[in-house]
Amino acid sequence: MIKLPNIFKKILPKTYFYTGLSVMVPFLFTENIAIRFLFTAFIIIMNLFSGRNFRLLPNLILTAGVILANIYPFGGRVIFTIGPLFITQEALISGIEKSLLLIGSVYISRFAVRKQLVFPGKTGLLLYKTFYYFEKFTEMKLNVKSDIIGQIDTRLIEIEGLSAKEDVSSVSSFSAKSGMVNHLFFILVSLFFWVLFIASKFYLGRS
Amino acid sequence: MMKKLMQSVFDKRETLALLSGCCVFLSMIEYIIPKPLPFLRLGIANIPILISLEIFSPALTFVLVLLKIAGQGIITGTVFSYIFLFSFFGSIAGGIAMILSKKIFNKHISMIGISVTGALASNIVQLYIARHVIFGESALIIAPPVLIAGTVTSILIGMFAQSFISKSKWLSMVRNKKEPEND
Repeated sequence: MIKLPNIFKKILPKTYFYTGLSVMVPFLFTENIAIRFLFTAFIIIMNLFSGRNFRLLPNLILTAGVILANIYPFGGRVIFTIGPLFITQEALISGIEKSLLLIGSVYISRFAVRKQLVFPGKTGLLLYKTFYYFEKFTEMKLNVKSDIIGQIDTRLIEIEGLSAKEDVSSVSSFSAKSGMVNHLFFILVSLFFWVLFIASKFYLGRS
Repeated sequence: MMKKLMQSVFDKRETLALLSGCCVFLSMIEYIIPKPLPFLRLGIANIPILISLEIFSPALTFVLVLLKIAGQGIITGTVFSYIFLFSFFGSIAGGIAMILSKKIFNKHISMIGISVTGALASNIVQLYIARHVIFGESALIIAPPVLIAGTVTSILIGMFAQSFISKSKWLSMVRNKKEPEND
């Protein structure tokens, strides 16, 4: 288990949100596969430090699926074969590029959007209530061997109307004041992405 | 019309939030299951939407679909990713197809029929996006297994929803309850 450096505990949900928005542009528009790999690795590490988890297996399965789905239109040099399937260099590079794009964008998004982020207005309140009930459902102990419908039904009866009793008037994470640490965090993370992106445009090719 | 819808959302906000919370919970369970392609899903998060067709107006069910999309995007953190594109357009297409099939056929269509219609609409739209955004021509290879798997799982989900609707005490309470006008 990775021990969280203190700085990440001071970062507000809205800072993560704005930082995620800021780094998404260089991530999406970079054409260099090595830089995109670096961005993906960096954002996964940032996710780990900020308390988000990372699971290797789903990402490996996703990468394999995307590479396999990219076999069809490509000709070119065959690198290896899996049964009747010929894996060409172009298909492999294209598959890796697309899976990096998918995985990287998922982790930037996970980095940017936190459950504690409450949007303003009536829609924000409705979303807050949605997450309130979501939390209540996660507390449910579901026994798959007995009547599932009955268990869900009982849970629905138990928790309906509970959020009406909660005071949500003070919840608005967008109005929370952010200090120097948050500003620095936003600037440094954004700079890392933007500097590498611009440098790759001028000094590096596509791969 | 918009004002009427907003009032309706406000009046039924607790039931609406409860069902959208359930959608998000089921989305989370789906998200945990590893999958080779981002849009290969069981579709269990659609169960509350099928149930809502029995208690909400079409407009309110559509609001639930929007809440489900936003909620699952936030909770799984995919809201700014390509996966969200699949989720957004797939859910909108599936939601509209389910609402329309219920509206048009009403008592003459079962939950299984509605579920299959929704799954087909959702899968076709997602394959279209896959073809034009991520995979190109390769999407044609994955189309048959995606459509077959989608149809099979949607039949099972429809059966589950049908069974829930016929047995649920909560649902009968909601049907019999007049929600508070204001508070």
